[in-house]
Amino acid sequence: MKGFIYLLEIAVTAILMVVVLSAFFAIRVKQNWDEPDLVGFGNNIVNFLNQDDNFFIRILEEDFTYIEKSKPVNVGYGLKVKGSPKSKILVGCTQPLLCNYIKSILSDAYVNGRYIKFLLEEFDIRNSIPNYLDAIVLVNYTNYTMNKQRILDYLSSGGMVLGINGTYANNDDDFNEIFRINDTSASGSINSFIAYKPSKDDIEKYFLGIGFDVGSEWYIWEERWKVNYIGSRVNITKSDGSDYNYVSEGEFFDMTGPNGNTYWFRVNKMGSGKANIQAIDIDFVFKDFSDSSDVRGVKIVGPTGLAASMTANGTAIWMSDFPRSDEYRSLAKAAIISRKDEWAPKDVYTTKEKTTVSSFFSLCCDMPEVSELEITLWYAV
Amino acid sequence: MKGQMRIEFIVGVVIFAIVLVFIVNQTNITFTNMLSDSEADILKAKALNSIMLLTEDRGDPINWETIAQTNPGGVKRVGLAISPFVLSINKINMLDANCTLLDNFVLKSYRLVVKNSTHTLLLCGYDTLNPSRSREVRNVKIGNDYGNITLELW
Repeated sequence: MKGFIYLLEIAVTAILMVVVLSAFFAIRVKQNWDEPDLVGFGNNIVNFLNQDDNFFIRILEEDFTYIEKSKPVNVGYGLKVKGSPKSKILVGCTQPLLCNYIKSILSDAYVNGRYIKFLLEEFDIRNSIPNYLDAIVLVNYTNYTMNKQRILDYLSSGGMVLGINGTYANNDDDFNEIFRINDTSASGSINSFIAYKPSKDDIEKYFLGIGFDVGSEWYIWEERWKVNYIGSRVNITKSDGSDYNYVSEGEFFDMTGPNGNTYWFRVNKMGSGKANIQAIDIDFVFKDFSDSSDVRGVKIVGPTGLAASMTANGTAIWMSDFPRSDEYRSLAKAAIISRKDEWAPKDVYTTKEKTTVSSFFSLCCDMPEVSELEITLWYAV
Repeated sequence: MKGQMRIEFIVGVVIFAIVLVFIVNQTNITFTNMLSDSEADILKAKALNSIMLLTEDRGDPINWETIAQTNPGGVKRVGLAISPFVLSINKINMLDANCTLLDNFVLKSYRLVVKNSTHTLLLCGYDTLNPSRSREVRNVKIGNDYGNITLELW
């Protein structure tokens, strides 16, 4: 019996030694290089994209060919852009007639070497506002009360609402709450941007950046100008022939605004039968909106005093209804674009451990455009 | 009773011997793995450090490709970049002609290849079929062309 216990002691001791020492034997000094590898790859990608504006522009146009070609096959990635608008903005509209009108407002915008396109899709607001719509435009809409919660839900999910309304037609609390404005109580004939402060609101930056897309005619300050393309030059003539400008691409010309001041423009780009003309002055004026309103939200455009013709309440932007003239169209486009400059060209769709690398990109030269590209990487397998 | 004690002693010695052999064997395996892992880590770190210097640094002195023509000893550090990930064709050509300039990196067995979209511009180190233990690839701009630089260590 004593001998058996002795053997048992030896066996137990041996087992304990093996167990204890196993922990020691399991020690590995090898480091996990996954993260440094992904950081190295991401750093290379973002720095490489910085070598040529076209690489970054392709990312904005959701062309990821370069990244797909250069990344290891077992690496997944997602992309996020902060500071540059989407190249294709999906805009919702509520009725065929209004959709056509909105389409006539939201023509392609050219800025910093690329086109920003607006794609329109009709939806029934009585059912729901689809979350995949980047923005919705409501023109002289009067059923805000009935659809208030849907609009608020859509706004809280990251959507953008542009309400083009004369407030006199929508003098209701729900309308005023969504856009944070008060009832009509003021008016003015000359409107301008309140301040050029892109750090606070960059609608004006985009307004000046995208300019006016011009075909055979150009409406500015509610006056029609005929536009003729002669070789490499463009002849912009007032419809009554009383004034003209004969300029080439890149050249500047001046016009007298409705307040009697001189405003400068530049022919930014010429194509076949069309041109992009930029307003240069940050104190650019608008002749007349249909209405002005007291402001509770952030005043963007308005006459002097408290009244406003355009206000911003986050991504809910109200602008007064406007007459036929291209500066109002550009303002509407700028309002939408300004709220769609933080987006994900490619979603991050993994729950695995991720690494994010970012870099800043600067596009030129129609307006200052500095944006951050974040690339998130992970090992897919 | 006396015989039983001897058997117990023998069994005890056998168990002790087995445990001793196991421990010695495991210790040997463990230290061998540690050494191997450590070497792999050192290679990886060296590869990352070297590729970073080659692709993001201009070298020391920054005009080393000119100095190397007359005084190779005056080159303290080789770097191929004009700016991060934009490589100088002159620096690439000079390094291709004087691969020994990479000796300062103390890479032992390595292969460095720089390619543009059509050609191999530089090949330094061993052109063998040895499997690399550490391989780093970076995309680079060379003049108006694009290519990549690959550093393999083993």
